[in-house]
Amino acid sequence: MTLLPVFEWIQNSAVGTSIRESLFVFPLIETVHVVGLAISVGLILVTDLRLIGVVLTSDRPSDIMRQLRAWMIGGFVLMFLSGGLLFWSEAAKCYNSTAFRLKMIFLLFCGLNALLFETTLGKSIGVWDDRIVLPQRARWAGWLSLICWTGVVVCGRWTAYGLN
Amino acid sequence: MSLLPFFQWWDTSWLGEAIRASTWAFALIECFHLIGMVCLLGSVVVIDLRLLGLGMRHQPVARVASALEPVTLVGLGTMVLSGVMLFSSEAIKCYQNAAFPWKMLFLLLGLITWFTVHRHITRLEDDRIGPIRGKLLGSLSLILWFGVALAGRAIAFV
Repeated sequence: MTLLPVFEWIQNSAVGTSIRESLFVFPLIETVHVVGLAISVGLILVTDLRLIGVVLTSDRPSDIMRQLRAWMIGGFVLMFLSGGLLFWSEAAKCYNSTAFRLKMIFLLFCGLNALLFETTLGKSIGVWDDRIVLPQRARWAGWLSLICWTGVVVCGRWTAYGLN
Repeated sequence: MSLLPFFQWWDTSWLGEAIRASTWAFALIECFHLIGMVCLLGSVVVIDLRLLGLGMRHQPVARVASALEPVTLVGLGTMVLSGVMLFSSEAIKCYQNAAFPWKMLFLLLGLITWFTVHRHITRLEDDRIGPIRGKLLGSLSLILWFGVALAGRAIAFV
C-alpha cells in the first residue's frame, strides 16, 4: 500500500487545483515562501553563527536568541503556511520527488535539533552562555542547524525544478 | 542606443553556453544564489531591525553592524558571482523580461545605500544616529533589499 492516492486526492482537491491553475496565486505564495525563508533562515543563521562562535561573541547567545525569537518564528510561520499551500497544489508531484522527501527529512532534523537544544542545553543557557568558548554540544547544535537548513534550502530548490 | 549587444555578448559567452549545456548547473548555481540571499538578507534584517528599534536593542547599533558586516559581504559576493552566472545563461531572456530592470534598479540603489549611508551611519554611536534617522535608514534598506528579492522572484513569473 502506498500513500500516493492520498497525495493525489490532496492535489486534486478544489483548493489544490485552484492554486495550481491560478495565474497570480501560485507566484504570490512562492514569493511569500521566499520572504519567509530569508527572514527565518537568515535569523537562524545569525543565531547559529553566534553558537559556533563566529559573530557577536561578546554578547550572550541567550540575549540574542530572546531578541530575535519573535521575528524568527514570524518568518517561519510565513514559510510554513505558504509551503503548506504550495504542497497542497502539487502533492502528487512532491510524493514522486526524491528532493522533496530529502527536504522533509532535513526539516525533521532541523526540528529535532531545535527541540533537543530547547529541552536540554537551552534550559540552563544562562549558566553557560557567558563563557568565551561555548560548550561543545552548543557548538554542535549550531553546526547541525546550519547543515540541516542548507539541506532544506537546496532540496527545496531542487524540488521546484523537478530534478531527482 | 540599445543595450541588446551587451546582453547578446553575455548570452553567447562560453560561461552562458556551458551553463545552458548542463542539466543541473543552473539549479545548483541557484542554490548558491539562495544561500547567498539568506546570508545577505539575514544579516541586513538584523541590523535594520536594530535601527528600527525592533530587535537587538540591548546592543549598540555599531556593535551589531560591525559583527554582521562580513556576513553581509560574503552573502553579497556569493549572490553577485552566482547571479552573473545565472544571467549569462539567460541574458536574452533577461533583456526581454519586465522584472529584470526593476531588480537591477533596486540592486543599484541597495548597493549605493549600503556602501555609503548605511555603512557610515551604522558606525556611529547610538546617540549620534538618532531614532528618526535610524528608522528612516532601516526602512529604506529593508525596502531596497527586499525589492531586489521580490523583483528577482518575479523574473521567473512575468
